[in-house]
Amino acid sequence: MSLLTIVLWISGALTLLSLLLLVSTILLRVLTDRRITGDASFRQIAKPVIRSFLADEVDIATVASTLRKDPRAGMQLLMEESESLGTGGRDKLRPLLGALPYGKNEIRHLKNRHWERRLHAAEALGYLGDDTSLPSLMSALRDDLMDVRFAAAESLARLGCQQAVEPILRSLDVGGDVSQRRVAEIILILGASATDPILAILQNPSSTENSLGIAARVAGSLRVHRAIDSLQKLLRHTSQNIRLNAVRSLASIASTASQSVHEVITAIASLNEDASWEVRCMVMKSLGQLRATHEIPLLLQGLSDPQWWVRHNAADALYSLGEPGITALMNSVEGHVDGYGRDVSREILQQHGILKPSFDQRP
Amino acid sequence: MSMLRILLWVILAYYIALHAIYLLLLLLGSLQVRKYRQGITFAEFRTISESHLTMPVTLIIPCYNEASLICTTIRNILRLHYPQFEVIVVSDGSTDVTMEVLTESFHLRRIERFGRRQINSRQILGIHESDEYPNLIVVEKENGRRADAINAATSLARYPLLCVIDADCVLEGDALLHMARPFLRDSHVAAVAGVVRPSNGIGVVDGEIVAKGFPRTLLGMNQEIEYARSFQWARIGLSRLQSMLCISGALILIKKQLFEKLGGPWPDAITDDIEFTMRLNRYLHDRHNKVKQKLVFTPDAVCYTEIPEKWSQYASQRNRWQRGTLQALMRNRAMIFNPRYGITGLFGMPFFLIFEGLAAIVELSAWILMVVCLALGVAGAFEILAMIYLAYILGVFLSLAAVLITESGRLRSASWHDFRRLILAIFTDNLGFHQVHLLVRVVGTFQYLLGRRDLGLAMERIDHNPATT
Repeated sequence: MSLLTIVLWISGALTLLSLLLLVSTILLRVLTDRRITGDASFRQIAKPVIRSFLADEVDIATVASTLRKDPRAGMQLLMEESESLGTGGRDKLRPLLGALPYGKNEIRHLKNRHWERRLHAAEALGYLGDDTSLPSLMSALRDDLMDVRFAAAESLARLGCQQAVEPILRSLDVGGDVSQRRVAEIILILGASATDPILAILQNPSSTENSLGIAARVAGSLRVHRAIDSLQKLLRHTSQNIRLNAVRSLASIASTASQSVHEVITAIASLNEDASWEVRCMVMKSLGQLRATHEIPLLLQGLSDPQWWVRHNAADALYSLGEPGITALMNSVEGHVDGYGRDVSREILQQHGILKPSFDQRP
Repeated sequence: MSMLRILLWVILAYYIALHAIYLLLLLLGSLQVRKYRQGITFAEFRTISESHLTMPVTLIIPCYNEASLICTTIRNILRLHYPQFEVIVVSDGSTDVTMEVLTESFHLRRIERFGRRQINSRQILGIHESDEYPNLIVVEKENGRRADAINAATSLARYPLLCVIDADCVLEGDALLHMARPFLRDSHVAAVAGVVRPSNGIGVVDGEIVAKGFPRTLLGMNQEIEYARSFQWARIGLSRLQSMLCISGALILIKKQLFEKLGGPWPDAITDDIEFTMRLNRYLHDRHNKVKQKLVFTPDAVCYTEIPEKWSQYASQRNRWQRGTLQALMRNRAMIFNPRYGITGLFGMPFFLIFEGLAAIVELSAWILMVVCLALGVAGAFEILAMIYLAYILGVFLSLAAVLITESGRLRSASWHDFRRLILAIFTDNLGFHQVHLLVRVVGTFQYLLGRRDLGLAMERIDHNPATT
């Protein structure tokens, strides 16, 4: 075959394909425009109807018939409304959801072979507030895809399923700080109802490191006073992550407790020479948070830590102690044995406008 | 004579291979985008924006003589929807009124900071804090280059993620949320790149994007197509193949620890972003390092950057890019065809060398060859015309495919008027613009070989405020 023939064949084919692409692009634009306009006008009609239903001004049949005109957009709208109403107001939508087939459809989609269907179904069920979906969501915690498991866990938490805490921790026990944060956030959705299961995990000697880390974090965020003893035990754990979470949570709980603050401060201060700089950093921060004025010598020691962040947190903690801490910082600016300690003390005092920058003091 | 015909065949094969790879990258890119969109859940970004567990970010904005636009950029950044971030603006020895404008606009006061110096940079002359915005720091330093300014800011950064953006950039309000998402889902993500689009044509008031549109000139429209084709969609395909060797310096989010480990961008680089991305790939994909981290592209984190709409500026920019590409390739040449770097060494680097670094020389050779063949009677006029048409239609086909993908998402053209101009630009791109670009790159190649390492002309800035244009 000659060069010319090949070139002509390829050019011809590409010309045809280009024309096809051009027509497709124009068609896509027309269709997208229509969809956007259609969605906007549907929302304009359906949103007030849902609001009227919530205000008992229209009946279920009217809303249901409006939403059936565009089930996909209707579902989206209901999820948005459910989100804006929060946990308390969500119950108002239940009768409406019962009259529509959304819940049943989404439960069926949890077993769909397409991952994206399962993912979106697992998420939607949390907003639809249908208690009959709990067993299916529990099963979805064992989905092959991690994203689906996370979505199912979040929905279970939204639905207030206290029994799900332990299965959630088991199914999402993948390790890593990022995953731990995600799981902790999910359990926090449950609020105070997560307290008992979290305590059970903290007290169970066979709990995995990952579960303990998450439970410690959640206990602190929920300020569970009953967890103080268990958290103090975790300060001696071999895992750096668990010690870090235990210190953070103890400080958070003790800052709102009138009792056992002194005991907690002593326990936290005992980690001031921890091998991990992140833990030492958190120790300094916590001592400031707990207004531990009698630990000023320890904080001054922290000003010469090899890690900048530890020094910074120690200086910041001293400042947060008020008069005695600020005086200690002022003395450190000139008298601290360590050059880094002097620098960080000066920096914090300048940051709070107590000390002028050295260039302003020059003639 | 037969040798010339063989060369014609080689050139044809090169063209077809280049466009076939681009088409493959576009297809891979569109599949990736589809998968990405399907994986976005209803409340995902709201959760990230409200979570106190979302990783805080330090945004670094290096600038040099940007008095005319730096305030718009900073106001835009300060309006980003993100739970916790700080902004470090570095005036890299600006000789205009940048510092005065910043001091007045943000009520700056000078402070002392004693951060650790992990990466060396030229001397810092002063650090300023804003009374109005506690998360804004302005650093004044001796003039280095963009990379040196970024390195200086790194020592003051407090957060675990660094986001470097150019001084002329405008970000979509949710850009940072979209870029943070991969870090929150996968602890192996090392850096995230976003979409970069021309800002000429958008309207910005008080840091907020209020109008979207395309550049006014045809030169600008041609770059719009070029950005859509290679910066948006082909790059997603390349990231799938672990070969995203050029992340635009206009928008990158990276783990600070890794950034420091690599020593930051190289201050003597002509295009520090290309060189840094290659070095980053070199570190991540070197089997000896046993690093399990990866680079990710996010198709809906959008940053708008200024593109040149004057020929002199366009030529200067592209000349610099060409020299920068060659410099980065030379500096990391050990990766090319080296199985130690996996698919990056065996596909990404050779692709970058053959179809990016040397593309201009090959294309110019093709034009010369066609003229010689015509003059010597080796090929007929019709044959040559057919080859030119093939080159033209290949370009049109690829651009149309890129526009088709663009129109299916939220980056679609704002109006039918813009859409028509976009289509017109596709059909005119290969009727002169592309050839000028080619010549500029050829000149850049020779200048690089002759030792030119400067940064070329400074960009003339435009005003994004629709009220003043």
